[in-house]
Amino acid sequence: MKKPWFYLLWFLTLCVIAFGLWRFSPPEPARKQEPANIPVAATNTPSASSISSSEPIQPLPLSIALDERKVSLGNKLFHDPKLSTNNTISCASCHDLKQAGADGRRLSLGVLGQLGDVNSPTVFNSGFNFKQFWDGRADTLEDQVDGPVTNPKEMDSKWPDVIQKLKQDPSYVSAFHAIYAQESIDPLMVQDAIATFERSLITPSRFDRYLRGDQAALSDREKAGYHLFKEHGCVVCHQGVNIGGNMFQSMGKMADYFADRGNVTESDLGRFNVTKDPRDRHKFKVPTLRNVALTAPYFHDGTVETLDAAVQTMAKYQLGISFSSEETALIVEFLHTLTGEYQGKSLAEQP
Amino acid sequence: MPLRLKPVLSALVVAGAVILLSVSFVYSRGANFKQHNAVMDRLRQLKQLDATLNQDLLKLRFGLLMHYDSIPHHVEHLRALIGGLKEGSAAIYGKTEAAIDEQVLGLERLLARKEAVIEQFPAENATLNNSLRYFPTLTTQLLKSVKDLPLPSARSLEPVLNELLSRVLVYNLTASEELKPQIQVLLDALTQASGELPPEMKEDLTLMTVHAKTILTEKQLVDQLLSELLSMPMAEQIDSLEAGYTAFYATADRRAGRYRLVLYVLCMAFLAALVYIMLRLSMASKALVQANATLEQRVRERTEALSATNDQLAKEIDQRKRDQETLAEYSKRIEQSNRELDDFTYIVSHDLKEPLRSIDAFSKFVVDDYADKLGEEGMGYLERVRANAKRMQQLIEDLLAVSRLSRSPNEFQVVKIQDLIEEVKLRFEYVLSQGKVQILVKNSLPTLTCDRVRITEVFANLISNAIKYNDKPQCRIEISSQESDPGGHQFSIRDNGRGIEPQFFEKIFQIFQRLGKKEEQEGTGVGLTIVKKVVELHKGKIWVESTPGEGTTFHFTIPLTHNKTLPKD
Repeated sequence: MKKPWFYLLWFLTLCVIAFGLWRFSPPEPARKQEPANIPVAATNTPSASSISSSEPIQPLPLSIALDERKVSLGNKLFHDPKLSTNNTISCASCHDLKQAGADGRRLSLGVLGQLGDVNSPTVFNSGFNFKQFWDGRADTLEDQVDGPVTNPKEMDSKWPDVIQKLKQDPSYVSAFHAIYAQESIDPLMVQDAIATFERSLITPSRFDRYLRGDQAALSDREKAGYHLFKEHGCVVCHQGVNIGGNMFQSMGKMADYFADRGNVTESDLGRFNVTKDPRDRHKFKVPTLRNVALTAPYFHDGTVETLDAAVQTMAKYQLGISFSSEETALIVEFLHTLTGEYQGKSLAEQP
Repeated sequence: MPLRLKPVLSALVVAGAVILLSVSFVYSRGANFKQHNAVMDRLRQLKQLDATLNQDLLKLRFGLLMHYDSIPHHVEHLRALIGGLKEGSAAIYGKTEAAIDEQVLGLERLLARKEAVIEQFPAENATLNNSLRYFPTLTTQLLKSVKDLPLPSARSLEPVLNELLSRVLVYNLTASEELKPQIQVLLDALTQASGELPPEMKEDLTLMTVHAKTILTEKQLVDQLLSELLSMPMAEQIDSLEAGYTAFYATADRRAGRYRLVLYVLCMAFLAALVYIMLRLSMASKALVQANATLEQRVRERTEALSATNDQLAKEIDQRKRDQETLAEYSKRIEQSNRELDDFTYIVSHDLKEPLRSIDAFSKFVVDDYADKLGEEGMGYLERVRANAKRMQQLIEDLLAVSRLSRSPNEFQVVKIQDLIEEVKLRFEYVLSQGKVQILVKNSLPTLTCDRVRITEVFANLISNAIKYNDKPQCRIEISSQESDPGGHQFSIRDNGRGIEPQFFEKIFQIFQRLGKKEEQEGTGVGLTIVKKVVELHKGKIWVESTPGEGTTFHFTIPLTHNKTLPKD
């Protein structure tokens, strides 16, 4: 039989252990602990895929993880004229995937043949733009969707009407329900689906292959053109994964573009319309140069018809120099290497 | 009532303890360390990310980073992190802290400000960097051209260009604006001198001047933006936020710690109670086991003892039975032999009387008829024969009397003892009339049921003895009675005779025992035997008290129960 002192000893030991646990276990606040698992780098940070980090231009990611159902729904919505008030205009009307994501017009056509204020930029690779619209008034693609849909000069719709029309299509109802698990359709869902589809629109090009180390991807003249592109300072603005699309810049840094062009409109004020900061007068989002060979006419006002002319305009107003015709030709040749492929086919050969 | 109160009280105590336990458990977890840690991590990431952003801005400024992609990403991520902080402190610390929420909002506003400034930065920085790359190239190109020129005035441009080149490049790297007027002077000088140059060089010079001027303005602008950006107290605000969170957490943790202490004490109390109960239980069970063992031992011992006693008892009973049987056998035998003896005595005495009578009769004939022939001496012998024959006849008579006592009891009847004494007195009339003997009745004597004839014999015998064995000139006999035992009576006959030695107290009651010489006293010595027998027939007792030389007292009792109905033998 065990003696009472044995229990006493046992109890005292337990006391000591319990006291120790209580006294010394409360963790000291933070610092020594492992950091919680919050991703530091955003998924699409181009610098992360540093094939050639010294290059100002970064290749497109090889793949982007997206919800295929949303992409497919977004694709349908993107091409659906129901988004416009009279069912005549879809997103694709101005961002025709067969025309390199733009419409080839100087200014876009809205409902009832109205002319828009600015030239339609390509929708391809728009997911890599830091902001949307020439003046960057939308922070995200989702926010951007709202713009053309409700713009009186574009689709001139009201969201309740759009939703009403979509609800009449059972395929939409089931598709939305399948993805968002809600009975009703919400404008935010439409925006989300379209934006997701737009993020899928990436066009890897020969130049990306070159950036990833394939020297044979470019001809010598194209390489010379790229060299000139960097040498003459085009690259200070057109850099990053989208070769542009990550900063605002004054149109006419070295010369007064608008004085020369004349007929200054409100939209020519650019970023100023958003911030009302005098410093932002005539500032525009630097556009991407991907597929630039296919997206004429150029600039926010669509006044320049050819790529040669566009290169020369940029040299004059942004760099304060003029390129020789040879330099221009080389740069243009380089710019043609930026024409990418969508769904395995070059944008130049889209039917 | 207290018996009923006790379980209610203990139930209340237990319920209270449980409630206290759960409350302190909940409160002891008031400080959510995990979530606090997550917040701390978020803050660290914010700080790190802000530092990375600043670093990237500096790299862009000095051409170490060639593209701006990371900047919007960093900003976006910062915004997301701060948005996460806005979820509030309530979930983490159990209650909200307005000051901390305000700080988070402040941080968000600061980020918005920084974002606005950052938006300006790339455009200016791109322009500056473009000019910074163009300017040295153009200047070097110009220097080469100037060297080739034959004009002496153009030669003077060379040091100016060199000066300008170095000044501008140094200016780009210094924080001060001191060099700006000097560069301006040099630029003005170059513009004045440009008139003499060939148009091609002039163009280059103009372009170079434009870039130099761009550098002058943009450098100031970019550095201004940069210093504005870098001096934004993001890190400081994050630090103070961290300190706020930490203090808040420490407070919450202290509070939780107090509840932990309560919890600990409670747990210890429970543990102690548990151990106490276990101890008590083990002790109780031990005691129980011991008690059981003792009990078993005792039961065993008792059983053993009992069975031993039983055996003993059985043996004893057996023995008793046997003894009783033996006894019964003996008493039977004794009775038998007694009866036989009585019969024998009767027969003997009865049958002996016949020859004795013959002896007496024929001896009388001899005396009567042949007295003269026998002579004096012969007559003497014959007289002796006759005396002995007579004596023998007397002995036989006595024997017969004694034996008859047990053989033929008389009817019991109510007897007035007083009358009976008077009757006895008549027998001794002669002696009494002589005045030598006095019989006194001390008190009134009772009336009782008895064998009248035999009781008379008792008194007669005792009085006769008292007279016979008296040596005093005046013989006094006192008769008295007293109550003894309920309803019984004790009679005493006292004399003033010569007394009896104590060693003879028993012997005198035996048959044919006489004190003194045969010749001295008449009688056969059967009287007291008869007396004793009669008393015993009445279930009474007889004993004697005596002082030699002074007198003797005979006491006998006649118990009540046997007064009325004496069993017939």
